[in-house]
Amino acid sequence: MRLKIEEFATCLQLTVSTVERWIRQGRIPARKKGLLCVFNLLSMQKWAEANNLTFTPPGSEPEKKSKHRMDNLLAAMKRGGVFYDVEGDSVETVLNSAVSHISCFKTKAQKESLYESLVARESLMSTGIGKGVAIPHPRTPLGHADIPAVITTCFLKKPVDYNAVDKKPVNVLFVLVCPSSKYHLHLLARLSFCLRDEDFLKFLARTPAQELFFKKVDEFDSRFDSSE
Amino acid sequence: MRKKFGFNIWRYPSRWIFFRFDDRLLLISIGALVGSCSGLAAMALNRGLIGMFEFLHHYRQFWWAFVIPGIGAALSSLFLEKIIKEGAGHGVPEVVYSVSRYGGLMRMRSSFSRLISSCLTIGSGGSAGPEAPVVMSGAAIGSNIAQFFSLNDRQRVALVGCGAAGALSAIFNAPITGLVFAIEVIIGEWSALNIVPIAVASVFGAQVSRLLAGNQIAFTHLQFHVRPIDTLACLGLAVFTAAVSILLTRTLRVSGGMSHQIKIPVWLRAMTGGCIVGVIGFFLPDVLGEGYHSVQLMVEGAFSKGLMIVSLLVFAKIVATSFTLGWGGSGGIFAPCLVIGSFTGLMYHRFIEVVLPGVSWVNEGGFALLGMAGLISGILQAPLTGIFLIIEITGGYEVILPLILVSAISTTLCHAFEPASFYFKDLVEKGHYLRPRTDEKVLADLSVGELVEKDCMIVSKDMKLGDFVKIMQKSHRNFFPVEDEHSGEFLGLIHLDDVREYIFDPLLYETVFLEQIMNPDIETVDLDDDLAEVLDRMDANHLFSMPVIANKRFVGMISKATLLDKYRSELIVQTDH
Repeated sequence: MRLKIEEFATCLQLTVSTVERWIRQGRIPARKKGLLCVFNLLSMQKWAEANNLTFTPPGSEPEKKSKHRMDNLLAAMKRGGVFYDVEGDSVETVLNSAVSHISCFKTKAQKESLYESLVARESLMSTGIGKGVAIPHPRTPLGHADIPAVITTCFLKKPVDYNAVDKKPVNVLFVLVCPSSKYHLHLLARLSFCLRDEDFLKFLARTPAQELFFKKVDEFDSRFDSSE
Repeated sequence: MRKKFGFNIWRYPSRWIFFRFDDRLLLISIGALVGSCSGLAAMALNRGLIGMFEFLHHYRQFWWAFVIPGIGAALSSLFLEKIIKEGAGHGVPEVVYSVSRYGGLMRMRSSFSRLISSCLTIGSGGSAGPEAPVVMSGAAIGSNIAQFFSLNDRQRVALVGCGAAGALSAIFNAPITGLVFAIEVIIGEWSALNIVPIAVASVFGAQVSRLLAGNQIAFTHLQFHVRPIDTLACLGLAVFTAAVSILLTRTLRVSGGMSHQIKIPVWLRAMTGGCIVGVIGFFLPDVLGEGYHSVQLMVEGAFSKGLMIVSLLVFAKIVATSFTLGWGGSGGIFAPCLVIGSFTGLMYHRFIEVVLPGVSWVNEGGFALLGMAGLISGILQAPLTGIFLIIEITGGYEVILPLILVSAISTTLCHAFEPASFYFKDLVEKGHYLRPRTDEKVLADLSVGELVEKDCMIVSKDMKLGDFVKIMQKSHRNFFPVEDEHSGEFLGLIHLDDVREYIFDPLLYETVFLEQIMNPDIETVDLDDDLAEVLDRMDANHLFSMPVIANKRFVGMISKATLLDKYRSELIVQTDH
């Protein structure tokens, strides 16, 4: 088999100078002919294995990256849905009615475990981040790998005392449930980018309709992408 | 290209289908060729020396004979200096240096230069041996044959070893010594891949010598009857030989250093040294030349001189050797070692006869033989070479037990006082002594260019802190090289730690420029720097990574983490066979 020396070096994940030196020193079962490397594929792979290296011939499938691409805010919000006039007058009752709206969690057991972990997280420290917004979420991923990341937006019927950091009552909940901690941080960073913005908060206070809300989120998503 | 390839296929034996499967067969065949050629070279020097000796024999009786070694040394030095343009010396360190650094690459002219120069030096009476010169010639022959056949470094090193082995086994008619010397001293790595071709080359070298000069043992002797008391006495002899070895090593160094302080042309220096040897030889003719005649007499037990003369001879030979080799003559240390060793053995024998008069010792020839082994092992710090050489050149297998003891103890004692052997002392001091499978070798083979990581994000000195924070979010590295936007010159480095206290203060974002944050006084590395030195500097300054700069521009970073990664794969590749 013949390959250009650059390609050959890439197959071994080495620098060209290392490969050239090894060929010169006779440490590698390949030889140079002009700018080409001549070698036997089978003995090359055998040699690489014996020397704790990998030889991936060009054209063979590059290793699939295990982590799939993470969605942006809008996709997660669309999956979670937006709900208005969510009932409740305390942290627990509000969370209970919010969980009942989350369509991804179908069985009763799933909903119960989500509810319990949300309440447990709130008892640790309130997720009310101030200015009338709370982001309830489980402390650790629930372990439902099949359930995608969702953000369920709940506009409350009446403001609830949520024990928030600024002591103000909360009227919007973003229930954030993710399959992994990394995903959680990824979405949380995007969500907090929106919530830092005064305009966005004012927009939320007006309880916008679903289409308007998604449009606004999309706008912030692209703003976040361009700043990154 | 194809046409050329078709015509020259015989010059690329590694591409023949017969050899392509495994290069062992190739190495064995070429090794046999190399062994024969270097055997021929050794025999040529041998004949040359005999010719020179016969030619000059008639002049030795004149009063001015003491200048003959001087003229010989001067001619040899002029030849090396002006015609060949090589330094003086015996050649073995040069071979080891080329094996360590350049994969055994040697010049064509080295294959005959030492033959001629040492023939002039030794033939005229200089106190030196022909072995190291033939080893260098043989090694150069091996290297050039390897180059002719376009072989790679590893194969070339094996063939250099083949050349050395063939030459040594031819000149002593001692095939095992050739093999052991090439492995123990020249290559320094015991692996089947080297041993097999070198053994074959040894056989061919010795065979050539036997065809041309007959199969004879260099120093024949009487039968020795070694008893336990003799073996016990050898412990004392080992101490003697070790002391003499250390004395010889140090005298050689002192005399070499002394000669370099005298500011005269090299040929005049060599001539002075040669004349001094001539004067010593005038009174004690046994110190002249390679001295094998005296060795023969001593091994036979026919050397009649008493304790005082023999002790004087030990020192006279040491001084003569130092003035020959240290002052610019050309030749090896092997033969003088054998002569001094046998003098030492004899001296020890005479000495214990005086101290313990009632005991009947083995014949004095036996002690001469053991003394040679002790000195060779001590000077070369290569015990196996010492043992096999003496066994083979004397055929004295019956002294093997004390022989091993003397060799082992002498080597150990010498090593305690002189950690690097006579051959390698200079190489070790210059950092050129790189044995296979050692840390030094791996570091010497890796270059800075192979370790550079180029994924750093370069920033300009006029960038504001606010813009820098955005760049930081995207970078995977902790280091940010700062460049001059216009000239592209490297100005300094910013580490994440340097900005940590400022990045959380948005007020500074628009007011602080990177020029104010960066570290301008940074230890930098050049692309040609020696990796061992770079590591030393990292350790000395407690750094984990350093920027690599070429032509004032930033090339990349070199870090200990990547170094470990590459070092390990290099080590695995180098030790795999």
